[in-house]
Amino acid sequence: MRRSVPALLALFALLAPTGVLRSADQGEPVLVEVTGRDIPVGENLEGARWFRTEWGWVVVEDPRNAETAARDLRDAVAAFRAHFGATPGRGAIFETRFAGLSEAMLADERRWTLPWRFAPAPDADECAAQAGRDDHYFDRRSGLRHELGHLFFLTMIIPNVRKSQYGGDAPDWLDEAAALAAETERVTAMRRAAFAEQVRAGRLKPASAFLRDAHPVIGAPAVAAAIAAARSRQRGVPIYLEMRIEQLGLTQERIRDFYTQSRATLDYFVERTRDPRILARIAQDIRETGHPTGWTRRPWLLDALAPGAASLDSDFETWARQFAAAHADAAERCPNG
Amino acid sequence: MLRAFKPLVVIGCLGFLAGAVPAQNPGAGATDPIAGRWTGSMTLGQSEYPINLWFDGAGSRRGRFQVIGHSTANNPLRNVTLAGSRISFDLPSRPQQQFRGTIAGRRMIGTVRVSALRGSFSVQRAR
Repeated sequence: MRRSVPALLALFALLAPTGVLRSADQGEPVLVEVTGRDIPVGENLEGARWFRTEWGWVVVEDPRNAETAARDLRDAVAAFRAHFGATPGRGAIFETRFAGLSEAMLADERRWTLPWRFAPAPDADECAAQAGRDDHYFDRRSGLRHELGHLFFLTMIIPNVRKSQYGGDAPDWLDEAAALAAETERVTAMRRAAFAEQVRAGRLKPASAFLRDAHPVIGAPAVAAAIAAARSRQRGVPIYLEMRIEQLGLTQERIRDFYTQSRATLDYFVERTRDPRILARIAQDIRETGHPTGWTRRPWLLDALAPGAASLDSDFETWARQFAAAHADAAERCPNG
Repeated sequence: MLRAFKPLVVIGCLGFLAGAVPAQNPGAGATDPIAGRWTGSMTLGQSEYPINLWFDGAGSRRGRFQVIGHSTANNPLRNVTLAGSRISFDLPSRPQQQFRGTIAGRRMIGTVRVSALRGSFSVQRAR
């Protein structure tokens, strides 16, 4: 069965109307540039080049960006399959200025769309200037995979029906875990090291409280207050908010902690349940019950806690302390610098 | 869904239906220098947003604005003026966004100002 895969990919390439930038035997995703009447929209924009992959489209000007995006898309799809046992529908990654083209595509070809700002990796000076801020910022590949993880989760697992703005109807940690699961190994290693630091510094949140937490930025009272104030002055107009973290009453550390504990929560549940698709199981319970934390009382979870554990909170804390002790190295902050 | 956090955090650009939506005049784009849909992006701070603009034809100089994926397509523009190749229009958002640009064929580029923040926009004419 495995032998047939390269053959199928090669056939896919042969059927393509125009040039193949990468072929399957190179171990890279097949990437085919499509031109003229074969592009999936009636009228193209100047500079927009269409590249077809097995999992969707990449629409960019620079073919090098298409190659990296295709790899990221392949890896994000693989991570999603590993954690959720499902394959996302076809979608499209657009260089931001071309995202308007998505509206002319057939619905089956745009189950998800991601406008993306392709940018070179930061140089050493920029990296140093940003040190101590978000680790994720430094790995552009990981950033694209992260956002694809969000989109796949939103379109395939728990869509956004009741809750606006962030994370769909899922608890924010779960939506974030789906995205974190798609990140590169390097950023994952940074997250884990940062979590160890978080534990050692005494900033660990009890699991039961964390699983109910809103994302710190979106849940910040200052955001709700700013929106309410703008609406009270003039209804029916767009609101544009751009606020500094300190205006939200937050710190970069507090925000980073939410991400690192989300990643650690994923690691903890996978390790305890020995189920690599535990996120899918949790999401299924939430979908079926409509309750964000009812699954924490299910036998399949409680039976998986360490023998003698008094509660989920105590077991998670014990696990986190052991994790911190085993990850004594300081977190890498600046991988590209 | 938030991108990597920077010193400035963009919370959102939320669109709400506001009043009557100007109708687009099909076919007007063939002769009118601005009528029809324009699509591209707007850069503010460290963020880049995909945007759509629609302008009516026949000299009405009415238009709409959308941040794709963030707002509805029904945000009316105000003060649309065209003088030669120079165009200006405002989005009555909170705070107001002021666009000033130039048109060259199928491209429109310019600056956008939101309070003290200055950015840029670049769009192409599209169907």
